Amino acid sequence: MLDKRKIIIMSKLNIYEKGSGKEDIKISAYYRKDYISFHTIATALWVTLGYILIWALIGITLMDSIMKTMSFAKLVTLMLAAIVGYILVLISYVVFANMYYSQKHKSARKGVRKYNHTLIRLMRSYERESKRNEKSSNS
Amino acid sequence: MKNLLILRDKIKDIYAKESNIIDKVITFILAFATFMFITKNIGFTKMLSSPLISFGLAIICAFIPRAIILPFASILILMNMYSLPLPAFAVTTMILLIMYIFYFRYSPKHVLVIILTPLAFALKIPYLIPIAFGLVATPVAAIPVSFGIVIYYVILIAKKMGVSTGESKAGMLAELTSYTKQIFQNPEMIVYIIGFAICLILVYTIRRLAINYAWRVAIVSGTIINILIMVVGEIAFKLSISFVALFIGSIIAAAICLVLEFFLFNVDYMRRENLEFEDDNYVYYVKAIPKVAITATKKTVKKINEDSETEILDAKAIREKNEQNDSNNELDDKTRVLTESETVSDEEKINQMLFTKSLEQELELKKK
Repeated sequence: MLDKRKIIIMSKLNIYEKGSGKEDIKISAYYRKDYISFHTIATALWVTLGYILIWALIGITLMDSIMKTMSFAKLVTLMLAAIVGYILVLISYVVFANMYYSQKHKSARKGVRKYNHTLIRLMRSYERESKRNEKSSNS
Repeated sequence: MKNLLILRDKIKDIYAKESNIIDKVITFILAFATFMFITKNIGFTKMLSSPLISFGLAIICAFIPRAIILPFASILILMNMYSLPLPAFAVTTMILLIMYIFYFRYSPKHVLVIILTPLAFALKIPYLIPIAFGLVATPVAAIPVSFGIVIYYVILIAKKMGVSTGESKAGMLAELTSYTKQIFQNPEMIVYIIGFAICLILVYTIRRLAINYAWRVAIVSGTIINILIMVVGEIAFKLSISFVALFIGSIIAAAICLVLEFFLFNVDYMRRENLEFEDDNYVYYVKAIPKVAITATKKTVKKINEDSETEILDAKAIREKNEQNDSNNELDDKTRVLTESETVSDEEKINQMLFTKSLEQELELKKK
């Protein structure tokens, strides 16, 4: 005989496992601090690369006008602007990445906790069923 | 109007039942249109420009998350750009990498915006994008809209570059500078980016106001501001925007957004209610506007099937039976009358007696 409640529980588990559960389980395998710090470092590296690319594009676009009016003072100003800009962009993205990945880990843990509770409910229904079967076999 | 509402509810029901298939079909159409747009404009690699490749890639995209369309499209663009001079390929790679590093790592959900923007330009209805996304998204959507515009112009400029025949005498650095300037010092692209960003933010701000017909006011305002910015840009920078295309495109965009409003935000402002109440901590001023909903009458058709569980009766036999019953009924009536008279109430007994008495009187009178 089919147990309706068990089928509902198993369907919910399967839906979660196929959907957001895949990513959630991977994320929650990490400790929160490890996950956040790993992704923040990765963000910092990517932002560094992206910033270099942006300056490269700006340099290529304005190369003619820069080369015509280039002086030592202008060069120093540009370098300072690049360094200050880099620091500002890096700090803002690191802070943003920290908040973003912290929230992501939190919601992943929440999903996995709910998944574990549902697994426990399924396990208990199996236990109840085995007890029922034992009783019926004894009688 | 009633029929339109019933049609809308039917469409919603159909989508609710078949959303799996419909989502896959929509993803396939979107992906196919994107890949065909790329290959039609910059299909410099013969093998990749075949519609079969676009079809195959679109089929793959239909069965995986929609966000994958953008990486596939990016790879297709780069593989086609490889046939062009190296500077074009390098600059395009840098642009796509910057978009990924600074935005799409964190919001893959906005991939649809970046895909729809070049398609809207290709279909000559670019003005739909800021108004539609101002209605359904947040002001952050201005960033992927800008990226979409940049990608459209990158493809357009690459197309012109691919069409111009003959080897360029300029060196690689000069080509690099020329290509980058064509993209980033393109006044038309800058006007579109600024105009669409302003329009999107304006539409978003107005539709969130607590005024009547907020969505419609937002759509009309967005259309007007779009037209104004394009006209000002055309005059200031001497662009090549056609006013006819601008007006017709804006009207079509407004019409499509009104349809969007019908599906997403259909409320009846005539039945609005302004409420005021308070609890221990706050005084509430609430404006309640009911949604327009209509329940379609479900027609049930009962089919009476002769063959199922009905007997064919003999009319003669029934008539004979009825006649027999009638004759039985007379006796039965009498007996019933007798039995009824036993159970009849006192009042009724009196009435019967009076009736018979009155009859007797009448008869006696007549005899007399």
